[in-house]
Amino acid sequence: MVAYYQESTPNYLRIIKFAGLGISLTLLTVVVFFASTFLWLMVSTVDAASSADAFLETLGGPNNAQSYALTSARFQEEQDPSRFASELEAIGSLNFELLPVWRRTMPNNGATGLKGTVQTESGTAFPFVIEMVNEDGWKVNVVTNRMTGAIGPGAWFTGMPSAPRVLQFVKDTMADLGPAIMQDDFVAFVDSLPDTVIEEVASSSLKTTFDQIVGQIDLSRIADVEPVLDPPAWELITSCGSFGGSCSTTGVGTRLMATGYYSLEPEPFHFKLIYVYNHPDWLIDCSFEQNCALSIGSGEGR
Amino acid sequence: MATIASAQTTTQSLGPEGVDWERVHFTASLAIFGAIVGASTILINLLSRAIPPQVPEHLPFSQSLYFGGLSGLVSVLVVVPAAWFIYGGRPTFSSYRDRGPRSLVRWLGFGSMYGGIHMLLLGGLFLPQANLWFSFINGQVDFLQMLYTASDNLFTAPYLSITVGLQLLFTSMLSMLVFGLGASLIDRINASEDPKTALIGAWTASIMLSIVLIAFLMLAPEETISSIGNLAQ
Repeated sequence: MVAYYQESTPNYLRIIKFAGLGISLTLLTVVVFFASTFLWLMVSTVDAASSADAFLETLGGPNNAQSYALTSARFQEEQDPSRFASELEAIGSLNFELLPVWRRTMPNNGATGLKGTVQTESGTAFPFVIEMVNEDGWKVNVVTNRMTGAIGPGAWFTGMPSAPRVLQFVKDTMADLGPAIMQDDFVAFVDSLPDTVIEEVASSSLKTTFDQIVGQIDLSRIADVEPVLDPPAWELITSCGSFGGSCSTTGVGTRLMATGYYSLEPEPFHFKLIYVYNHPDWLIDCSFEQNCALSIGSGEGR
Repeated sequence: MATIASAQTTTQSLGPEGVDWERVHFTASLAIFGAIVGASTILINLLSRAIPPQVPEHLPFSQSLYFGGLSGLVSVLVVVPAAWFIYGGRPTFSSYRDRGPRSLVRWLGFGSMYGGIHMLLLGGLFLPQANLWFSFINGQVDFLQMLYTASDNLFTAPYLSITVGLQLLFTSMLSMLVFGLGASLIDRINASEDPKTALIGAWTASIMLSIVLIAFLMLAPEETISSIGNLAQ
């Protein structure tokens, strides 16, 4: 009798069946995984989202205190009710709406970020974010449409500051600039500025115009005179990419131009000052393309 | 008068039937060891990424578990089918045992294949997806971004397997060697003529080697592990 020795041969049908089963199971796992993740996200953020909705509904209302009461302790530490009101006033009447669940992020360390769109009266829509923190219920920690830079707790919007506020910026600047012009001491003016902008202002276009008017005008009473302000406007800068690259215009919400004059004798004293948003303040910045100017006289060529 | 009786066909077993426990033992032993080698590979790699003056430091336990578990899982995915195939099916018509051990050189070859495939799979698919998931649960990306990026990662996996996988090159080379040597030892013990040794020896060897690797990772100075990962000093 002959004994044959034979190794098992691969069963290809069985292999194909197993491969098919493996692929189906993998696909099923992926679908179940994403569905579970979605449910998890929905459940984790539902309370924060409803609190955010409640806050956003009160924003357009007449009672800012009601909105302010829905904010976190850190929010209230960083932004007092009057600044909160001025930020809301600056953006005017807007329609806030949160994005759907799939645009939410998971809560992390008791905080969650929600995104939304805000629509202006003219119909323009732009994005905003609202960060909610859990402190005895979900409270608003940050609500902003400022998407760049570090923004702390509070409500911060890119709306144009009110005219009285801009007037105050100008008066504060001139309170230091006027005496500096009288004493021909630009350094004294620069030293009065916050450290973050000293270098920019020291080497700016303001220095050139400063030198031109020194000794030509008496600004000793400037603090007692009320400046006449043109409507504040954004200082827009358009920059284009090289070799036919697309152009973009920046400055809305970040660069504020304050122009006007002081009605002084014998000739009015004109100013063009540029303020840059440096959270949470507006600071004078005349560097690079931001040309600030001071001049005396009236009519063309002043 | 003679009649032809209708012949009755019967199925008779030509060898042992049922679950091939020998093969299962071997595969499971290698899978355990492979998982620990895989987990060590990524942890050593992450430590070796510290560039002076940065001091190499172990990740927090939860992150070590996360990335180590992921790399271990990839190893299991590579090792299980490979070990099953390498061990081979049960011979029929024979009770002769011809299932190892394989030579050290062959195991070093298998180790190289393991290290290479593990590196490409981990770098190309699993690590980018794990990083994405990590960002998601830490609230850095929203659900839709996660979906988009996950599908993007899937389609760019061949590219990522080179760019991200190459970052694991040196540690993967080490894992090739360690896995090859360890697997060879497990195979030799598993092929022992002594039935008891053959039964529990492979498990024991696998677990012991894994414990040694884990102990080394936990107890050795971080600078040493980091320099090993860089194949330097």
